[in-house]
This record gives sequence, structure tokens and C-alpha cells, in this order.
Amino acid sequence: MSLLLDFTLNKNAFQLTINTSIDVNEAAIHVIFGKSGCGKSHLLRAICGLENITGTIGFKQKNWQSGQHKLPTHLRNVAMVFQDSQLFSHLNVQENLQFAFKRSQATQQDWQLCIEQLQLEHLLSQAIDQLSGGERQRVALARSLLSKPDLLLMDEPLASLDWSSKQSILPLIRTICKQWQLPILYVTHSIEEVLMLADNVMILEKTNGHCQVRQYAPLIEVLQDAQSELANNTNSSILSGDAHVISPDESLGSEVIDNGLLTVTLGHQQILIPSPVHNHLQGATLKRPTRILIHAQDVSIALSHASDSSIMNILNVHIARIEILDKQQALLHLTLDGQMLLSRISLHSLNRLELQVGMAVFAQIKGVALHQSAL
Amino acid sequence: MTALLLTFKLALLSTLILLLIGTPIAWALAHKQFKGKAIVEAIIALPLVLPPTVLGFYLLIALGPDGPGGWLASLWGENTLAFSFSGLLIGSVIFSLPFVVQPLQNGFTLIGYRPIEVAYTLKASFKDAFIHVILPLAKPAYITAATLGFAHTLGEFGMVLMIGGNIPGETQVVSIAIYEYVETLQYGQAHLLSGILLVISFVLLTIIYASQKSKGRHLL
Repeated sequence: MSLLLDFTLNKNAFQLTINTSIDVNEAAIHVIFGKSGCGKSHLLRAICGLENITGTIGFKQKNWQSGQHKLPTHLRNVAMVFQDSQLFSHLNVQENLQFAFKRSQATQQDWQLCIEQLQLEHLLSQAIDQLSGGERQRVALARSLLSKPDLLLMDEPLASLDWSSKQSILPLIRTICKQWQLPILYVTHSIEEVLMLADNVMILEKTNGHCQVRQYAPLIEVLQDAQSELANNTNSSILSGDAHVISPDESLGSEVIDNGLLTVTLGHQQILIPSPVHNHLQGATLKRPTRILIHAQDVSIALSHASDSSIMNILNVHIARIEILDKQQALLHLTLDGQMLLSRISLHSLNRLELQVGMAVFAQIKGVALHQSAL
Repeated sequence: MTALLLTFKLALLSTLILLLIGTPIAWALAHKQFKGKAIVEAIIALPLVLPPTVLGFYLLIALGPDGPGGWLASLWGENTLAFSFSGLLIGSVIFSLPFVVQPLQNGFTLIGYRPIEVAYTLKASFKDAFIHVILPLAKPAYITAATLGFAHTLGEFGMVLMIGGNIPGETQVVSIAIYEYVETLQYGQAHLLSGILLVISFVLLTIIYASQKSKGRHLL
């Protein structure tokens, strides 16, 4: 069962040609990545029938578009979250949600789950112009979910938000995908969002006004592909492990933790993350698979285990590859129980510590630099 | 008083018809690209620049026994629409069309096409989306359009004189009645009717400007 795309879209001096198929059977996130102006948004608009195309679009067994036949958007059962939320300004939050709810198969349980998951209870009676950017996007996402779509399209939903609003929504997106069993096509030009969200990545590219798919593959493959633009521009690594919330009163070793901490188990080692950022995991006693993002510049190298450092996370790693970036910096590829961690250090340090491939060293990670989202 | 009632009946009916036919025209002009769009816009704007007598003259011919209006009237056994209330209504609608279409068009342009697209992605059909999203969003535009259409119909004179004549109870509207009172030197009656028209027009215009100020929008 898949979303079949085989069409051309002509617009002004711009042509988008797509010939690919996306597996929509499983609840997975397909991130469409590319520079601005390479047709990412047009691709989403074409899928939901808001653009005129020549060619065919098929969804599962249904024919959405072919030849003269074009199924209107409202019959496609596809929802879209726009970059600028596009909430109806004549309705308040609750009425915006009801607009979708009334026209869909969503149940009262869906409504409850949605309100809880996106923390909208206290916003329901508010007018749209009283909401912050992050709140608007949460309402927009909730509204899309309540229309119970078969497919959710998200067009740079976080692009216009500040860092903290982003952090409050980003981790929710994978959770929502899994919990609502909803395949998502997610457009972005942010590498961080690709790393945090993607199961599969579709890279769009524009050459001479002609836009097409350059690569469409699972994230892991894209990152391993040395030719891939994404892998070459990445200064971050993603690690996956099991997350477990330690409640504030639980003690960790001999130290007593004041605030809640999240531990992520990676093979034999653990990473600690301060918890204010991931409220939605509070109270989750079960271990759940999690993905964390670590920027290469936040990882430093030590030859001995420093016990008198403010650094919370010190991991045993091996140097797998040393890549000289320029005259000042080097990128170390470190292995950590089978996963890859990147560290950017100065050439000066590289020489001073006499680092070499195969060496066992300690990677020091600033705890605050970690991001996590449900795997 | 008959003239006053007749004028209100005419203005009310014209405004209703204008809102009904003005809505699709304004929507198409705001959001559709089609050949001859400029020509359509020019035709709609013609009553703004033409002397009412020119418009009235052509309408007189069109509504007369040899025009389409005459053919229409023959369906119910008359031979002309000129000098009748129906004829006057048709004339008013054409005459006030720009005053309704333009504010609506500006309103629809201001709202943009996005809200209706968003409604489509939430399973609303065009009709559903138009009624539940566009109409409420365009409320200020509708208030302006209705008020302007109504007020402008109240004030027409030249065209009525051409196609309606001066038949009390049938085509004698306030502006014509005032003219006749002045002609026959009945200044008291003229004062009364003029005063009423002045106050009503002033109140209507105040409503428009007040509703625009409160929304911070300018459709006029």
C-alpha cells in the first residue's frame, strides 16, 4: 500500500517532476528535505490536490488523480499543517478544533487524547490572536489530527517558531505519528529536524529551474552515503536508545538528583538529560525507544575520566575515523556500542592529545545539548 | 410617504439581489484568472463614470417593447418593463452594482485564498467552506457592500427619471418626489423629504466607517 506519485507540475519558470512511491502502510515519518525554492511545498500541495498537475497520484487503492479525473481535496482524507498555522481567525481554539471534529470520524476519545497530548485544555476558550506562535502550531496540529486523516502533510511547521517553542513541539511529532498510527510527510530545510524526525528522507534538488527527487532512502542510509549533501552538511549525530524517566526523588548512584532527569540507555552506557524539556515523558515509567541528537561541537575528547568536571555525560568510545575539516578543525567519528558519534575538535587538541584511529577515549557531552524524541 | 416607502422597498430589494449576484462576481474577480477579466471589471465600473441619463437611456431602450425587457414583459402579458417597478429594480441593480461588487472583491482579496484551501484539507466542500469560513470572515465587507448599495439606490435620480418616470406608488421614488415638490413650489414637503434622506444617508455612512474603524480595515 503506497502513495504513488508520477506527475509534473509547471508553475511560472519552475518545473517539478516526481516519480516515486512512498510506503504509507506503516506509521512513519518521511521527511522531504531541500533548499528553499526546490518545490517541497508544491509537492505537498499537489498531493492534497491544491495544485494543477499533469500525471497521476494514487493513494492505497484509490485514484486521486489521473488524466482528467481529479478527486477534490476534501474527499482525499488528507490533512495539512501549514507553516503559518492558518487557524480560522473568526473562531476560537475550541471552535477551530470542532471545525475538523464535526466533519470527520474522530471520536470523543480522539478529542480527549488530542487535548491532553498537545496540552490544549487551558487554551480552548482563547481567541486565535491571543496565542503564541508555538500554541498556534499546537492547535493547528490538533485540528489536523481531529480530521482523522489517512495521511498528514506538514509544511515547515516549526520554521517560524523560536527555539523553545520548537523544543516543545518537535519531540511530540514522532510520538503522535506512532500513537495515531499516522504516516506523515514532513517538509523542512532544517537538518536538525531531519535527524530528529525522519524514518525516510526524500531530498529534492533544483537544477536549471527543474526540481526533482535526488535521493529517497531510509535516514540511516542517507547519513552513511558519503556523497549525500545531508551527510556532508551534518554536524550532529543521532543516537537511539531506551529512555527512562527518573523521578525527582529517586537517587542516582550516590548522588541525589534535585530535578527530574531522563536517562537514555545506549548499549551498556547511559546518557542523562535534564527533564524540563520533555514534559510529555513525565510519568512514563516504562522504557521507551528514543532518539537523541548531539551536535558535534558539543562533544569533546578526554584521555582520562574526569571526575571533577561539570560535564554530566562521559562515555567510553573508540575513534573510528579522523576527518580533517580545515586548517583549524577536525571531525572525529567515534563508535559507541555500535552507534556513531561525531565530535568536532581543534587540530591543536588533536595533536596535543596525539589522537589516532582505534584509540579508546572518553567523549564528554554537555547534557544540555541533547534533544530527544520518540523513536 | 408613499414615495418614501417605495424608495425603501426598491433599495431593500436591490440590495438583496445585488448581494446575491455580487458575491459570485466578486469572488471570481478576486480569486480566478480568466480571459476578459479586465473587460468584466470595466463593465461593472461603468455606472461609476457614466452620467445616469446615459445609462437610463440605454436601459429605456432595453426595457422597452422592442428590447429584451419587452420580450420578458410579454411573458406575463405586458409589452414593456419601462415605467414599471420591475424595470426600476433592474435599473437600480445595474446602477449600484459597482458599489456592492467592489467592497466584496476587496474583502475577498484581503481574506485571500488560503482559508478556503485550509477548509478543503479539513474535509469541507466549497459550499461548506464558503458558508462557514469565507462568509464570517467577510462580514465587514458585506456590511460595507450592503450599506453602500442601499444608500446609493436611495439617492438615484437621473436614471429613474429616464426609465421610471413619475408614477406615484409605482415609480415615484423620494428623489423624484422632491424634484416635483420643488417644481410645484411645495418647499415644506421638499424640506421634509430631503431632511429624511439626508439623515438616513448620514447614519448609513457612519455605520460603514464605524464598522471599518473597529476592525482596522478599509474597504471603502
